[in-house]
Amino acid sequence: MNREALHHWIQASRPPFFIATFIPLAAGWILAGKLGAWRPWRMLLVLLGSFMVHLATNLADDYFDHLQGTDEGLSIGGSRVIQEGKIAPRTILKVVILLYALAFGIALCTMAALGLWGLTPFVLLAWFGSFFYVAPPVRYGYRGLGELSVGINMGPVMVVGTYWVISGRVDWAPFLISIPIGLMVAVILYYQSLPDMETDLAVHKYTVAVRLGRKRAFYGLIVFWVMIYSSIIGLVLTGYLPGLRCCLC
Amino acid sequence: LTIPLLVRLLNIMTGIGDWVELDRYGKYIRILYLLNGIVILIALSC
Repeated sequence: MNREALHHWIQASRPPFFIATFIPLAAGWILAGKLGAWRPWRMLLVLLGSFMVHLATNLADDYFDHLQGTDEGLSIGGSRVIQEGKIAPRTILKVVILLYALAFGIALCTMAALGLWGLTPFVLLAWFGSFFYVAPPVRYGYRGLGELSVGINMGPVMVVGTYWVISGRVDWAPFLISIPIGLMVAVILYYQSLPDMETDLAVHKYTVAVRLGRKRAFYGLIVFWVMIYSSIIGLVLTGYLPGLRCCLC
Repeated sequence: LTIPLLVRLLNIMTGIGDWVELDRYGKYIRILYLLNGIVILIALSC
């Protein structure tokens, strides 16, 4: 792969959004680490599998939005590598399949080696949320369910899933900690949909923002952040985030 | 720590005529996520 092609793939992967995967994984790891179970090799596998799914999600989003015509014309959504002729749609689809296969392989090996078959619903939910965001026939992102699914997958599924793999057990703490994290990822998606409201409406992509309309979409952003800060304060007051208690004193 | 940045973003939103321009300010929402995320991670570590 030459340097130009590498730049195209970096553009397609949308690196600034990878932080949305790193924070929930790190939260699950730290919580498990507090039990004395750091297990860096397990964390490495979780990181690899999760980033593969995140990358596959972004590429599948580009591919299926291209098929639907959502990212064409005046739209500024997606990575735009297809619209700019940098990567062929068929190539993107092949890489998506490869990434899912590798991520499934990692998940299966991890669950088999550790006897954590209880994680199967988490793996299936993550794949479903990743692939069917814009892929037919579900395309839940077109039905205003994108924020909900992303919030669940990049909140509870990632934080609890990571904690489970690393520590080998399930607790309430990672689930509760995952609430503000999931909400924050959901608000990133929500904000990213705001500039595309008109073009999304034109292709019948009824995101939450499109359904709300411009004025209520603005207040929707405020509601998101009120929920985020309220949940963080709630976690501090209930002792799940003791390190922040000094900030409220 | 992060509320002033959020207020700034909301002010930008109310001042912009065409929301297509909001794409230029997407970094603010990611910075908000990153800062709050780091705060949560540090608080968990304590």
